[in-house]
Amino acid sequence: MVTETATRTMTYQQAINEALQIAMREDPTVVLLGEDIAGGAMVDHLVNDDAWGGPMGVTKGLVQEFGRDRVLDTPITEAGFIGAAVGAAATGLRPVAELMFVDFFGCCMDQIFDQGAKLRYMFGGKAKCPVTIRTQIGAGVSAAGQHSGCHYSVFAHMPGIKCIVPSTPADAKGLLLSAIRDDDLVMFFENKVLYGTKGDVPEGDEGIPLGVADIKRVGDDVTIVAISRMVQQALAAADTLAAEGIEAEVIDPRTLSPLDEETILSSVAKTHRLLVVDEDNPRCSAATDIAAMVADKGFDTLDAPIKRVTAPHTPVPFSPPLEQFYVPSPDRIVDAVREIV
Amino acid sequence: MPTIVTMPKWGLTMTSGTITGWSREEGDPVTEGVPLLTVETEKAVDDVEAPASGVLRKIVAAVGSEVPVMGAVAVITAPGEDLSDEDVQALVATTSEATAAASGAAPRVAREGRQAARDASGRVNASPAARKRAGELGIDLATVEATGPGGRITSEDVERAAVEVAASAAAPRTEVFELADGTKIAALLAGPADATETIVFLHGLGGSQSTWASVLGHFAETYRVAAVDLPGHGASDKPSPASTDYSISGIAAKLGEFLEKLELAPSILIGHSLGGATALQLALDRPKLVRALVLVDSAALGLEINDELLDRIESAPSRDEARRLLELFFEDRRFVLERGINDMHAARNALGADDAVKAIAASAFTRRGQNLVLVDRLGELEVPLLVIWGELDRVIPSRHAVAAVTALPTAWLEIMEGVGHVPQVEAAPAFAEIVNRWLLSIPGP
Amino acid sequence: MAAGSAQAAVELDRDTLLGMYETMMQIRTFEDLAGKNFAAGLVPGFVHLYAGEEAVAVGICSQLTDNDFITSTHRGHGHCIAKGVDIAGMVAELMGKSTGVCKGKGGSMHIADVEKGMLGANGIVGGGIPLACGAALTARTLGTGGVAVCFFGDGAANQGTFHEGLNLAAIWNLPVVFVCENNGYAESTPVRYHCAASDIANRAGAYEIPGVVVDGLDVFAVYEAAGEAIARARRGDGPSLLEAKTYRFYGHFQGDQVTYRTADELELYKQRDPIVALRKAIVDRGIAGEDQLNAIDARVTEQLDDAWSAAKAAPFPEPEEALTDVYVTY
Repeated sequence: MVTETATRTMTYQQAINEALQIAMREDPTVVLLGEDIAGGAMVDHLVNDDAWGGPMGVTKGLVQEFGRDRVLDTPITEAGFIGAAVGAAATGLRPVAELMFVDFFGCCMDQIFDQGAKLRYMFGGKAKCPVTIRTQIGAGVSAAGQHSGCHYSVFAHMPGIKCIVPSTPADAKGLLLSAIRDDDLVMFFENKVLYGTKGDVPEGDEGIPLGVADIKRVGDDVTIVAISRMVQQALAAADTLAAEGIEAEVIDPRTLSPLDEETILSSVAKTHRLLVVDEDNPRCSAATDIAAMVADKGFDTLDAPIKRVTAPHTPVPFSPPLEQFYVPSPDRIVDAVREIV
Repeated sequence: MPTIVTMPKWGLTMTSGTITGWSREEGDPVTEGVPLLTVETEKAVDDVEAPASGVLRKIVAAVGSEVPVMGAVAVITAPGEDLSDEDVQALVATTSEATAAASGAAPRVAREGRQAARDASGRVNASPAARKRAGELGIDLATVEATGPGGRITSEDVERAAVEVAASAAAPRTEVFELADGTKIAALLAGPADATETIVFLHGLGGSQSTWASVLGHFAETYRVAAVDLPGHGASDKPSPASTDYSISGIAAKLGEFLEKLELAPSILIGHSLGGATALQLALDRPKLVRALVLVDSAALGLEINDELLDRIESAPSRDEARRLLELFFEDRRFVLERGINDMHAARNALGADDAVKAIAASAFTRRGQNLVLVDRLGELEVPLLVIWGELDRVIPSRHAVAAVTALPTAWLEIMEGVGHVPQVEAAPAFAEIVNRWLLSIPGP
Repeated sequence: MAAGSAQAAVELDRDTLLGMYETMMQIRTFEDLAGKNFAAGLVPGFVHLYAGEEAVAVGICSQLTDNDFITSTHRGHGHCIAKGVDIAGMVAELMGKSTGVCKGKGGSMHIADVEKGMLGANGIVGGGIPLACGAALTARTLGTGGVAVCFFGDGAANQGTFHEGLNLAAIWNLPVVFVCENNGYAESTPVRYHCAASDIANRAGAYEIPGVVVDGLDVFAVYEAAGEAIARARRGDGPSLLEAKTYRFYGHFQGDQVTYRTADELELYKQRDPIVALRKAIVDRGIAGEDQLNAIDARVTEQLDDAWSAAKAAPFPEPEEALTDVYVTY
């Protein structure tokens, strides 16, 4: 289909950095806003240098190339700078704002939801809000209850917002490029546990289209839709199941809104069984959304109830064994598959 | 590479065979195509040829043992090939497993099938996919075994049930049809439900549908087959001659009614001996019911008939008479089996059977010859005709076959060398091959 | 501290003065008719009327161009008209008709026209403040020379977004003018209760930006103070806060029984009607006569009557319109 593109091995974090660099080079209206995305603002010896380059170093090196007029450190003022990003997007910039941890969304929900997501619609289609909000999700580093959530379902629920949940470095780069180039409000959820994981990432500036799922593993016996880091958990479970003669098909939706329903429904039509793995809490989750969609549109293809493997209905606990219990493990996925095959 | 010699499947209903003799001993060289052992079934006895050349490494089933169809009876190794006793055992064991497994589609993840669960209102536990598939295939969920967790019927269970239904639809089973006057006609039916053509087999005087047992299997995969017991024979009614028309026309009329009851498109009729005369009469009287005609050592194609047949029929039906009748029929004496004699004897003594057979014989044959000769009317036939005759038929001479094709030059003729009055038993595979070849050659329906 | 006065009238030219008069009349007539037609059942939802506060919107927006952006509040009709949004389109939008300036999808509280630099009325108190900072960020980043003016009420001055917005604008030196329209009440609650500052302008000091109190009923005072703030922003000297003390003649929303104000108080403020004051100043200074001003009145009345007739006759949007304009692509 396309000519072979060279790839290099890089981390999820580096892939995101590369996407930001490409986007900022190709479009001068792309500006970054966020807390400590460079760090050391107004420190004399850091005029064109970063102290941190983001709390996880994801935006390192960008202020050196693009300067502090395009890489804007902000005070700790989510409502202020997320709202500013929305206002700037509506008036001609293409901002990429960083909400450091998704758990902080309570501080800026009006700006995302009632302003950014709705202004195009309320203004009769006569305005647009091309802003990307990058934010960290995920448990597994003992960051405890206010720094470890997922909550993408809250955003996927809202009309006017698009939600991206990449699981690999290549997906992260391609999807972030598409997010920034997209003219709508896009939430880009980066799983903090994945930052250090490595993968092959294509060179060049090609984006991955939004709303297209990726089949990460082909199989005939059960469909497993897995979100973000749960893709890796599902693939590990699939290896265990293969030894028992059960071949799982693992689907990475990559975007929750818009959702690639067709790929999921085709897979379930083949396997007749569906399991959704979601690190988020169960009630009103993305897993529930997907399960209900398939129960409706794929009813006649199902040979077993749809199973959801999710975190429990609790905040994220601190102590490591508790946190391990919280996050869906490959064993829990295997057990759930055994219930329905 | 070792070769496993297995019990062949000869007849549609054959499930096992008994080994009556080995022509070689363990360690002997064997040659492909040369008879290696002799097998006896309920219907026939015949040789089994070696499937490969080499050395007869092991005889697994000794003389007298009964082996299921496809079961292992011997192992042949290639010249110079070494096989330990354990290896031989393992090979044989694998064959047995394969035989057992081949009998049905196993579920992907081995799970016992059991009766499906039902809820309080009696509704069967079946998945949405299963319900939809069952609706599409016309399967009653109540009859499907469940392998899903909690006694749930899955779509795979429904697919499997459908295969079984189709298989059993194709499997032979006897059905009974009641004619307008209350006479019940029995027929052995087999073949795929979606077959487009039907072959109706008609036996001869004193016989039954079982005369066709060794050949039905050669047709039942492609065609629907119906092997009928004529009135007065087999499992059909044997009404008193006083109240029944046992002439060939009378029987043909009943047969015509039977064919209508089956609601078939025009059928291919294959008739043997008296059954042939009946088939020919029907083809002339009710051409719309017949699409093609095969006459096998048939009556009504000439005057001559062996008096000895009448002697046998007119005698009291003793066991000895039965044996002598069979000896009249078969050129190859091996086919005069004890079991065959017993069956014939029992059949002749069934209630009303003897009266019926005698009445039919009296109507059809005299010491001066056959009463009904239709060879001059062969030109009226609107359907293709095949005539098969055993060269050494002692009941009805083979020149009647020649006369038939002389009267109808478009007809085909096959005279089978070395075979007597009943080629469908004495040379079943060759007989079937002749008929199948001819059926492929005639124009479609 | 107060700034500006009627003396400044001599510095404004005739066209500007008559233009401001006409715009203020347009706003007043628009609001009066909106209230009347709302009571007649022609306007679904809520309306929040600006009558009485016209001097603030007009005194400021008359100094802005389409290149400058404003953000507004739930009481946004006045800012929209002052910024040049099509009046007929606004009336149709109030009625939810397909010819509305937002295709009937926003209504009174969300009227906007980005082409005219109007970033929308806003249903969230304080919601427009960060947006205005964003607009100012765009102007500075792209070098457009534009400024952002942020209108909000005394109630919004207590919202977190007020403080976040002022701080952000201050540290980034954004070209934004924050305009607090203090009409004495946040819904039904008097400012003397809800606000810790006796003058909201004093809060500017917390962010070390200029803050001035302005007589919001005096269009000349507003004009002068705003002019300084706008010039400051445009030349890159950063944000300012204006507190315009003003008054709304109607309740918080139409249907409000306004039991929290006295009839005496309302009468007092009606004596200080900003349109009456401007009219008097124009006549007194000989800039135009009563007849001329009456002719403007008549023209405005006709314009609004036509707008309402057209809106009444216009069709509602097709139901399927509800499904469009959520995303650019999806």
